[in-house]
Amino acid sequence: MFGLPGSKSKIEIPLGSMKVMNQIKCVIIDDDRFVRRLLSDRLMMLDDEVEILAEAKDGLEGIQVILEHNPDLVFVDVEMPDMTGFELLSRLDQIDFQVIFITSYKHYAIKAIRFNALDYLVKPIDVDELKDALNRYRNRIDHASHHQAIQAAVENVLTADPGEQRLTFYVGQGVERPKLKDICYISAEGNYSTLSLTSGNRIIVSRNLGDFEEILEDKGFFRCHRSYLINKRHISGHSASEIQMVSVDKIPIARRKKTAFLRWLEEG
Amino acid sequence: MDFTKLDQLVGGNDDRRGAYLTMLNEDLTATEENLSEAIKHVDRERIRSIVHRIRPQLAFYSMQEALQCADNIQLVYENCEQAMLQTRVDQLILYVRSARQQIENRNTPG
Repeated sequence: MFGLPGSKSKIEIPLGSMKVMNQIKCVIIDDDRFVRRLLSDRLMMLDDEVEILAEAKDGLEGIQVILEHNPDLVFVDVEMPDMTGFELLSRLDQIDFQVIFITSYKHYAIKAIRFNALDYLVKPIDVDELKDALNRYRNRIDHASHHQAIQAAVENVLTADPGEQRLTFYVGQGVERPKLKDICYISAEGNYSTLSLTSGNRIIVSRNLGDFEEILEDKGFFRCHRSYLINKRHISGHSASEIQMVSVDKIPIARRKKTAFLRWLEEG
Repeated sequence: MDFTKLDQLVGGNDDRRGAYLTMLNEDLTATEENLSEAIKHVDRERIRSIVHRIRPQLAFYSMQEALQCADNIQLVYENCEQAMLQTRVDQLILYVRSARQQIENRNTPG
């Protein structure tokens, strides 16, 4: 053992305190008592480092338990009678915890959650999905970026104009949050997609184009080709086979997409 | 109804199993009562909310027919004709009633 006499306690870390470092302090907010109980039982069964500090049966109670317990991780139902999970988050001055949304199968909010690269669980909670979500929580080194993503999701829900809404991506060590109105088009590069921005910058992300199509199709974007998703806001003209973007770029139109493209363009 | 997921969850603990089944029975009873009331007043949003609320348990206990019926109601509740909504809701009430009966039979000794 090296070190000065009396310094031993500084070197050895008691096992008990290491466990505390790994502990995940959670709260569960859901109006359905079955879901609260199921999630709580599954968490206790899966992971003895998870500590459930409190449960809440609606949004208002949820705000109270968050303020009172200062959790690391909040499981929050998207749809509650008194407010949505997003509204709940928007009422907090500061979000310094991670969030996993709980939602129903095929709920419209899944799109909004995926939009910001956030986590969600579909009711009734599947044990493997929960395990994966906890692993993602643990592997997320940059908690500040995750807090930004939550903030962006909340802002998106509160923003009526789709152009002002933002997508969130974890790129390298940082986070990118382009506004939809600033994305000119998105192109497919194998398993990656490249976002071409009006500023001339590009963002490469490991998501396929189909993912983007799914979350952006009702926000002014159109898949005109298997490799391209274009933003209507930045089209300056078109011929029978190409779309001229406001930038100098020309985007091909797939033959089978021509009619749908013209219809989409007319929709205004 | 399938109790496999419940059995895996409670791992032979009868008290916990009983608590889940009591909760299910109470929630099914409430669903039946609330649906009957809501369809009487053709309160479409309330019907959607009741169905939305019970869905996780229908899925957890693999009540497939009830689940399909619930999903169908959530799909059409807003715009479908009243008669169609009535038929769907009546159908769901029957499934719910039958599930309650199954739980009671399981709890009846012998």
